[in-house]
Amino acid sequence: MSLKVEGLYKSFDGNTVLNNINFKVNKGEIVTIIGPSGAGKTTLLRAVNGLEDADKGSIEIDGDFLCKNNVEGIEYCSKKQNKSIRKKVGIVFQSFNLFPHMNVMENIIEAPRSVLKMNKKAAAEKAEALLYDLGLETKASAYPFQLSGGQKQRVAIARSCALDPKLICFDEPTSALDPEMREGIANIIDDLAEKNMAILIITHDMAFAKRVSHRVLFIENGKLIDEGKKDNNFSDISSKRVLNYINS
Amino acid sequence: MAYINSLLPSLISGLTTTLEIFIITLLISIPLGVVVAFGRLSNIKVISKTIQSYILVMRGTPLMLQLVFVFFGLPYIGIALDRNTAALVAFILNYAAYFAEIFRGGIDSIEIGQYEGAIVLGLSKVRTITKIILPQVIKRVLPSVGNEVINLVKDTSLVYVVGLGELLRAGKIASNRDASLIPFVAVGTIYLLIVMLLTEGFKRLEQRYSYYK
Ligand SMILES: Nc1ncnc2c1ncn2[C@@H]1O[C@H](COP(=O)(O)OP(=O)(O)OP(=O)(O)O)[C@@H](O)[C@H]1O
Ligand SMILES: [Mg+2]
Repeated sequence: MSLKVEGLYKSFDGNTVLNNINFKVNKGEIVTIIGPSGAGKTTLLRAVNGLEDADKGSIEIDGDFLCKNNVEGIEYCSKKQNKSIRKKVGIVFQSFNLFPHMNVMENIIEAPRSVLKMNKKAAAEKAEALLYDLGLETKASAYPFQLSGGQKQRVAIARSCALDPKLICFDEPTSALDPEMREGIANIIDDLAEKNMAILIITHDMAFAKRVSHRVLFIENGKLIDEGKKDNNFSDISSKRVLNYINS
Repeated sequence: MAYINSLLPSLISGLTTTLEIFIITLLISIPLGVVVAFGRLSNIKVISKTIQSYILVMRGTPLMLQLVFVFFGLPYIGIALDRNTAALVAFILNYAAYFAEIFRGGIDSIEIGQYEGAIVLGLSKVRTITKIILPQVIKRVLPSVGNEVINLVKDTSLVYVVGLGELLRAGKIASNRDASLIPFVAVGTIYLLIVMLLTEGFKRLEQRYSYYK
């Protein structure tokens, strides 16, 4: 199990945004969460990445608990544990958040060097291999402002992958891409899953969700209300509302 | 020409004092300004409020008054500083406040995504500040810092109020003595040269940071 979320609650000023969320993502599995605007998708992804503290529930990443329930409510892991969990989970932000003053290579090797304490040569070799896999081998010395949206996204993927995470999250991965490039990112995500990474995606893009996911979860008002599997061509979705949404 | 040569020893001596105040103030007030800026942005209310008041006082009263206060006022509460130290203390405290406000603006202008990008990669807080945030802040604040540095060159002329013989005072003495305006012209030229040098220096610094957007 790479990600297991149980009984997760989160509210902002009395407004419940995540309401008893339960789901898992297995090794090598691609799970997409879709749902209307304001349903809580980004909040959920941020909670999984430790950018937002939940109010109750547990988040387990590759056997380590980021947070879990105790008698008082919720307990977050120690700073030291947090550091080791950090390495297991990565996120590709919707706006990528590359460091603009560092070139592509520097962006990628920053964390392997300063967090994993890799030496420069080993970190650079690994980065080069990642860039090669992502078709960016000629861009190592380019700065983010010199890249297209799709290239920035691939650098962000390489930057996450450089830490060998067990789980990678994508926030709206197709929002900066034209239709042709969607197939490109879908292939990259397929490859990551084949390397046994767990993938969690949130998106509004139905066609993309169907193309790339093994499972699609539907979230509405902070609740996961339905689920469809690719194996059944998503025909196991029961709710009419969700079916309409998926087929639209 | 011979007249100007005869002025040089006193002008150079004044210039030395001016440059000493200028350089030492910069070397201390810029790093101090960084610390003050982070304090101003601190979530701890006591710290941010205290620093806010400090900045208000430093920016809200004339530098000349602060100089007078440090040199003539502080002895009344048992802190007697020599002229040089008093001038430096006043200048450093004053300029640190101005620099802090510039840096705070710069730090505030860095998108939250830069911090989150660093957090999810597991970078330490210190590393995030020194390697990710500050380099970007420097680029953004360079033009304003350049302005402030040029102001400082001219502000150093205020230290005459505590009896220090800086450049402008040296010119004034010569002018009164010789009933001539030439010393003032010479002094003005020296200020202008310093400012031109600094302007060029900042231009190059800005170019060095122009490799990215
Ligand atoms: N920091 C915050 N403070 C207060 N309310 C917040 C905060 N972040 C999110 N919310 C609220 O939580 C709800 C869910 O937001 P979230 O961003 O998770 O939705 P979403 O499903 O990602 O929507 P979209 O598809 O539009 O991106 C919204 O009502 C939003 O206003
Ligand atoms: Mg969102």
